[in-house]
Amino acid sequence: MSVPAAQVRRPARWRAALTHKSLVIGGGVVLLIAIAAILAPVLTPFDPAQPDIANRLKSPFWMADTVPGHYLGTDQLGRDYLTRLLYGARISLVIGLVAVAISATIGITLGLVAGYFGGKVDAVIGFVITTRLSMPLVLIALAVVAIAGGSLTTVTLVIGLLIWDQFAVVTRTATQQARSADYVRAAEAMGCSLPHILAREILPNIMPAVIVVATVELANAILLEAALSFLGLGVQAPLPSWGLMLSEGKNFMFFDPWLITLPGLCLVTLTMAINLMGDGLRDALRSGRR
Amino acid sequence: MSAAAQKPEVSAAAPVLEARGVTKVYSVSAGLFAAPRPLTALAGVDLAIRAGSAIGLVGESGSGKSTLARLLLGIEQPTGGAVLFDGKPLGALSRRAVARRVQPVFQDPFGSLNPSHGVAEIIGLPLAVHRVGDKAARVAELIDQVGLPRRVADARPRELSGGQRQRVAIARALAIRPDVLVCDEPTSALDVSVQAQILNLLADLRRETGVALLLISHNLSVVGHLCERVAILYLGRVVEEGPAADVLAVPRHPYAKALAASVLSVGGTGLPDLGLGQEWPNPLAIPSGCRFHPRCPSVVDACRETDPALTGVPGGSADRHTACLRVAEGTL
Repeated sequence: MSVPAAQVRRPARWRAALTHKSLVIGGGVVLLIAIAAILAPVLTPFDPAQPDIANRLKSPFWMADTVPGHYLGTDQLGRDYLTRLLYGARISLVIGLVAVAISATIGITLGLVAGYFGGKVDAVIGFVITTRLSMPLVLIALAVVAIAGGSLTTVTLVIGLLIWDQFAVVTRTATQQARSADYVRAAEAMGCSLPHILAREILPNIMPAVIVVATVELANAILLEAALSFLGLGVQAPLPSWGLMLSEGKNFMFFDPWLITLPGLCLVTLTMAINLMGDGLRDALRSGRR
Repeated sequence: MSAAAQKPEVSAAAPVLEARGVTKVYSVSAGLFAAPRPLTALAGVDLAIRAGSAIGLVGESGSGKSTLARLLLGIEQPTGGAVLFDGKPLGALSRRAVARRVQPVFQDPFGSLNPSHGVAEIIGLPLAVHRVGDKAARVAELIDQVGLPRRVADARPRELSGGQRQRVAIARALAIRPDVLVCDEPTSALDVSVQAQILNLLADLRRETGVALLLISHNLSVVGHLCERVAILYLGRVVEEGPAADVLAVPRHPYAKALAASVLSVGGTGLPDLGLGQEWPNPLAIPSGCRFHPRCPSVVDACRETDPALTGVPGGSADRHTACLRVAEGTL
C-alpha cells in the first residue's frame, strides 16, 4: 500500500483541531452569524430601510404589543428590527474583514521587512510603528470624518489603515526568529529573490501567529466600527449598523430597552465568538506543530 | 569504509573555488554606549578547492570554519582578500550565478529544511528558482540518487528522521548540479549510527557526479575518511595544511597533534577533549605572537612575540605547510 502520507494526515489534523472546544463553539457561532448575514434577503421579507409609521416601536414576540411577522419588533420608524440586525451583521462582517485585510497587508509587509533586514531598516519601521501607536484612533476618525464625511468606505479605510500595528509587531518578532534559520540561509545560497524568501520561506512559518492576530483584530475592527457608528462618525443612517442602532435606540432605552439590548447582544456574541475562535485556533496551531 | 582506496584522481588544474588571503572582521556591539569591538573571525586564510577534489577544514568552535563557508557561498563578503571563482572575484558574479556553482549542506537538517514545505517542493526549489530541467523527473532522480524511497516526496520534513532529512538537504544542494558542495559539519547533528551512512553517501555522490567537496568538521577522522587534503584552522588562521593521510598520520603543529590525539577518545557528539587546558580561544581577544601560544604544550618565549607564517615543513612533502616557529626551526 503506497498511500501518500499527506492524504492520510490531512483529515487527522482536522479531527485534532475539532478537539479544541473553544474553536468549535466560537467558529460555529461565527459561521452561523455569517450564514445568517449572507442569507438575510432570504430569511426576512422586509427591507432594512423601509419605514412603516403605522407600526412604530412594536415589541418583540415575547411581549404584549407584538405584531405578527415582526419577530423582534420594530424601531422608532417602524423598520423590522430582526431585518436590521441581520443586515447589520453584514456591515459588521464586511467592514471587519476588509479592514483586517488592509491592515494585515500593511502590518505583515512592514513586519517582514523590519524583521528580515534588522538594523537601520528595523529602526525606521520601529519608529513608524511607535508613531502609529501614539495616534488615538477615535480622534483620527473624527478628523477624517470631518474632512471626508462619514461613509462605509471612510470608516473601513480609517480602521484598516490604523490597526496594523499588532500585525507589524508580531510579524517582526516572528521574522527575527525565522530569519536565522538555516532554511532561510539555504534559500539565500540558492539565489532566491527577496520576495520569494519573505513570502514563501518565512511567511508560511509565522502564519500561526499572524492568524491569531487576525482574529483578535477582526473582533477589534468590528467593535471599532460599532463605536464610531455610535458616535456618528461611521456608517450613516439609514444603513443598519449595530453601533448606529445602539445610538438610535438610546433615546428609547427607558421604555423600550430591547432596542439597545438586542444590537448589544449581537455585538457581544459576535466578538466573543471571534475571540473564542482565535483562542482555539492558537491552541490548535500550536499543538499541530511538532 | 574503503573510501581511501577509491578516491578519484585530482587534477592539478586551477582551483574552481579559492579563498585568497581572506579576512573577515565583524564588529560586535559591546553595549548601548560602548564602541563596537572587532571580532576577527578570519585573519588571512588561503584555501583552494580544485574541481572534483575533497578538502577538509578542521577546527574547534570559534575557529572561523563556518564564517569561511559563508564567504565561499557568497552569502557574506570578506573584509579583506578575495574569494575567487575560476579566478574571477565572487563579487563580480551575480547571486544566482554563484548559486549555480556552490551549494551548501548545513549542519542541522532540522533547521535547514523549511517545515512548511513538502520534500518534493524542497528538493525542487532550486530547479524552480533557476528554471532548469524537468522538475518532476529531476526530483525523482535526486531522491533515488541520495538513497531515499520515492514515497518521501509527499512527506513533510517533520515526518522524516535526521538521516533522511540530511539526505533531502543533500539532494536539494545537488539539484542544480553545482561544482562545489560546502558541507558545514554535515554529520554532527546526527546519530552516530547514521553519520557513516551520510559520509559514504557524500563520497559516492562525489564519485558519481564529480562535485567537489569542502567538508567542514571538528573531527579529523571524519575528514580523513573522505578528503585527500586537509586544512586545520585555529582562531581564523590556517595552522597546518597538507595531504589528509600525511597530516593525520604525522601531525606537526601542536594543535594538529592535539586534534589527532583526541580522535582516539570516544567523543562522537560534543567537541573533542584536546587536553589543552581551559583557555578557550576567543576571537574577540586574539593572543599576541602565535595565536595558539596560551594553549600550546611546546611553547617557547619567541612564540609570545612572533606570529608564525604558513611555511613548508622540513622533512615533509612539498605540499605540506604549518604555521609554527618550532616546526620551521626543526625543533618540534
